[in-house]
Amino acid sequence: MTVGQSDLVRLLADVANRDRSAFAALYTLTSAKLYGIILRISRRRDLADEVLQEVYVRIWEHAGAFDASRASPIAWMAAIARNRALDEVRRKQIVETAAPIEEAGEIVDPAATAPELMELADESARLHDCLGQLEERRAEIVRLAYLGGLSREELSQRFGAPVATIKTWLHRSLKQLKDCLSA
Amino acid sequence: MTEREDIDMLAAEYVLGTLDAAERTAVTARRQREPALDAAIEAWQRRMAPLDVRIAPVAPPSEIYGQITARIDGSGVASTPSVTAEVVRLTVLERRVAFWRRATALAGAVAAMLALVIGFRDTLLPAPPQNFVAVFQKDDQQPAFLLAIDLKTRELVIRPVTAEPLQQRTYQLWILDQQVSPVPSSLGLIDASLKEPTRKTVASIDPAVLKRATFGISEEPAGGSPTGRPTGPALHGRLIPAAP
Repeated sequence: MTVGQSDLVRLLADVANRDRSAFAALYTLTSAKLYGIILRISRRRDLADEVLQEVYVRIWEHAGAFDASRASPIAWMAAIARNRALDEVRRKQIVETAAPIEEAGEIVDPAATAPELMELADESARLHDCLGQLEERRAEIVRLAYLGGLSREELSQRFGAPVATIKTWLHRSLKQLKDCLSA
Repeated sequence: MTEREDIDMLAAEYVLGTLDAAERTAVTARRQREPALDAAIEAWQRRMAPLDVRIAPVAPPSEIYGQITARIDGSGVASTPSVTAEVVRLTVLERRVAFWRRATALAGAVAAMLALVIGFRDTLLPAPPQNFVAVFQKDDQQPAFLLAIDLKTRELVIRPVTAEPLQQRTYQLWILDQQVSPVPSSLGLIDASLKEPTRKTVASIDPAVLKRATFGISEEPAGGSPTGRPTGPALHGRLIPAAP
C-alpha cells in the first residue's frame, strides 16, 4: 500500500488543527518530493534549504486553507513549493548554469513515479499526449520552463531566438495545450 | 487579445515560471483581489501538475525539520547540529539496533524489530527538545506508523500512515530499555480499526527512560501477544529529526 491522497487530506486537516505529530508525518511523507521540485528550480542547495523551510512554515500556517475539492494535497503543496522557489530565483536572478541543474532532482521516467503521485497517472498520460501534439521544439520549451525553471531569457539563449519570439511560442503552445486538455 | 485571454496567458506563464521577478510580484498581489486571475492560476496548476511526477524526490538535509519547527515555535533560532552530533546519533542508533536484534532473538521473535526515538541531542544542544518522532517502516517502504512523544505530558500518539487493519490480528506497541529490562515490554495494543491515532499516556515511565528507549510495533494475535513478548512480524523504524 502506498500513501494515498486521502492519507494526506487527513493529515492536512490535523495540521490545520495544530497537531504537531501530523505535521511531522506530513513532512516525512512529502518533503523529499517538494525538495526535489525546489532543487530543480532553485539550482542551489543553500537556497533550496531556505525555500523548503519557508514552504513548510507556510503549509503549517495555511493548512486550513487547503480545499480538497480544488486540488490534490500533493499538488497544493507542490504549487506552494514551485511558487516560492520561482519567486526566489527570479528575485535573485539566478541564471542557469550547466552543472547544478543536472546534479539533483533529476527528471525520472514517468513509469518510475513517486508512489504518492500514482493517482495522477491518468492525467499524466493525458498531458504527455497533449505535449506530444505540439511541435517538438515547443513542447521542449514548455517542459524546460516548467521542470527546469528556465526564464524567457534563458530559453531565448538556449533556442537562439529573441525573447519576444519565445514569448509568442510559449503563448501559442500554452493555448494549444489548453485546448487539447479540455477536448 | 481579449482581457480574458490576457489573464489566462498571465496565469499560464505564472504557473510555467517564465515571468520575471516584477511580473511575479504583480501577479501575487493581483490574485489576492482578482478571483478570475486566481481561478485561472489554479486551473493552470491543475493542468501542469502531472509533470511534477517526473521530478525525482531528493531527501532534504536532516536538520531542516528542526529548523522548520524552530521557526514555527517563533524562537527564530534554528538549531544547527554539529557533525559530531550526527556521528554520535548514527553510532548510537546502530548500537541500539544491534541490541534490539539480540533482544528479540532472545525473546524468540521471528523478525528483528527496531526503532528509535533517542534523546541524546539534548546532551549536545542547548535547548532540550520535548518532542520526539519515530517512524516505523516495513522493508524501507513508506512509513507504516509514526510515533510522537511529548516528554512534558508523557503522551504518545501512534498514527497509522500506510498500515492496514489486520484480519483477526492486532498491532502491539513495545518499549525496550536495556537498563530496565533485557526484553521489550508491552505498551499496549494499537486501535485495531486504525481510523484514529492511538493515544497513550505513560505516566509510570520516567522521561529519561522514554528518551533513551527504543520502540517497536509487532503484529500479534487478537488480544495481544500470548507470551508477553513480541511474537509476530515487526515493523522497522527510522529516526527522523526531533522537533526542538
